[in-house]
Amino acid sequence: MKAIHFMIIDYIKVKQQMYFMPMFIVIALVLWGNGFSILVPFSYMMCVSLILATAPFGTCKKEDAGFLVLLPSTAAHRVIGRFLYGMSFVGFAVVCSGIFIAFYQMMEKEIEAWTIAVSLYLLAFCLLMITVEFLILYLVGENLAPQLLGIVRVAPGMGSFFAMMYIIDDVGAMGKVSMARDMGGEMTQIGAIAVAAALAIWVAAVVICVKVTAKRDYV
Amino acid sequence: MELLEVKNLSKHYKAFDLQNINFTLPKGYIMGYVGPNGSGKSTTLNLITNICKCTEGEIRINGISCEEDAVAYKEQIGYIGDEFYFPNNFKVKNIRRVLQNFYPTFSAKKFDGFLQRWNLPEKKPIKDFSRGMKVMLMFASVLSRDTKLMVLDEATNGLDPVMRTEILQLLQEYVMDGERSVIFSTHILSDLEQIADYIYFIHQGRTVLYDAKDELIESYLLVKGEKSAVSSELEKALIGVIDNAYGFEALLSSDQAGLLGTEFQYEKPNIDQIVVHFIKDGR
Repeated sequence: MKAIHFMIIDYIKVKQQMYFMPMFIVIALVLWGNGFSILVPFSYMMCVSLILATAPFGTCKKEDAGFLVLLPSTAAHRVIGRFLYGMSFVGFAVVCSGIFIAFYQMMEKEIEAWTIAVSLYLLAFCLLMITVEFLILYLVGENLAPQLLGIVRVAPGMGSFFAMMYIIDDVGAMGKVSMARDMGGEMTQIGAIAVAAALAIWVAAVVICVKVTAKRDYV
Repeated sequence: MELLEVKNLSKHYKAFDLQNINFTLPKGYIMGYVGPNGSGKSTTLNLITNICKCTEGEIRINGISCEEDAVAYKEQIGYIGDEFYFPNNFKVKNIRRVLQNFYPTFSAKKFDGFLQRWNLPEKKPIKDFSRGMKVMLMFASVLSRDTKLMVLDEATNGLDPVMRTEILQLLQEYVMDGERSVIFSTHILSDLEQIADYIYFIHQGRTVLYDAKDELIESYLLVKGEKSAVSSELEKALIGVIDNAYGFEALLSSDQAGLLGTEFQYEKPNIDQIVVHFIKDGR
């Protein structure tokens, strides 16, 4: 429960950024409405979630330790709270994408198995990226220059989005997607395993960050 | 019964070492933790609050160490720092909510009572609060729950005399029930003169003095006189000799008062004078 309370603190700290969420959803819908694949808004929402998930790291100040570190809790509560905060954005992206897909189906368009499989790969990739980002930010983040911190926070999300656009547009055109189409359900199973593996790595990262944080001096 | 026990506390940094700090603070008492800038006061208090981790040693509050039970340990501490520690984009309602979430003994009614008493505006962004308002908001957050040890790190710096007096009164009320204690670091030694029961004096990371305030004042004499009248034996016994236009001023241990002749003037020193002469002696 204390971890949830730390997650709420992170939300309060970055609440100004939350006001942009509706705008991101509209952009995702515009991208989709312009004839892009259903995977494009999903990729876009993942990119947004990767960037917003790391926002609390940019708000950390040494003086805050007198309040936040002294709250009756352990290092594990604080770290799990921060990871849950990050994960909530991935969850948000998944929910948004689920709603997009539901609308897509309501318009009597069938979702192919390979689309679901690629979405799972994308989700696994996003989880992995968020885990690596959090690891970097916990291990060295507090000592990073603000400009470098900005790059660590923004680059993975932007990079992932453009990589996905490339895969959908160029690789798709070269016929690789049709190969994926042929593999059908098998691809989905592998995608599900990839998501499970990414979640396991996420848990391992939490454990590492708790150990590092428990030994840390805050001032 | 001891509320705070600090045993063999050390912290090593590249450029500074805090070495072998030992003291106890009984329930119902106030300790003044004094020393010049960079002497290790804030380091010690950061170790007590667990904001920093000690290299060696042990700290217990009411018999509980942070390693044994971090939640119970921290629940007992009310910390007020020299810097405002609430995140800048927080509002008063956010602070109330966080305190409610984390502290089972937090009373929103008490908290709101303090806000009213000190005219702290609920809707104004806390980043726009004056220094005095920020300090009082920190006090409101600490006094509206059941803490056992109040830790103040130069919290009264930059406050006007009226506000400082109010804070000193608050601290005395805080320890009145005999179950709670205060450890208080400050440069304003006249504040300590008024309220401290114990004085711990630290310099360059090492203990210089530690005693009950009244004992400490009784233990030394402030000696003034002509330097030419000082014998070699007295010269060795004097602590922190400061030359001035009228001769010299120094401290002398009370049990060495026999070394003084009639040509010297002496009186009881205050805490400020004891600290100044010991710092002078240390350099």
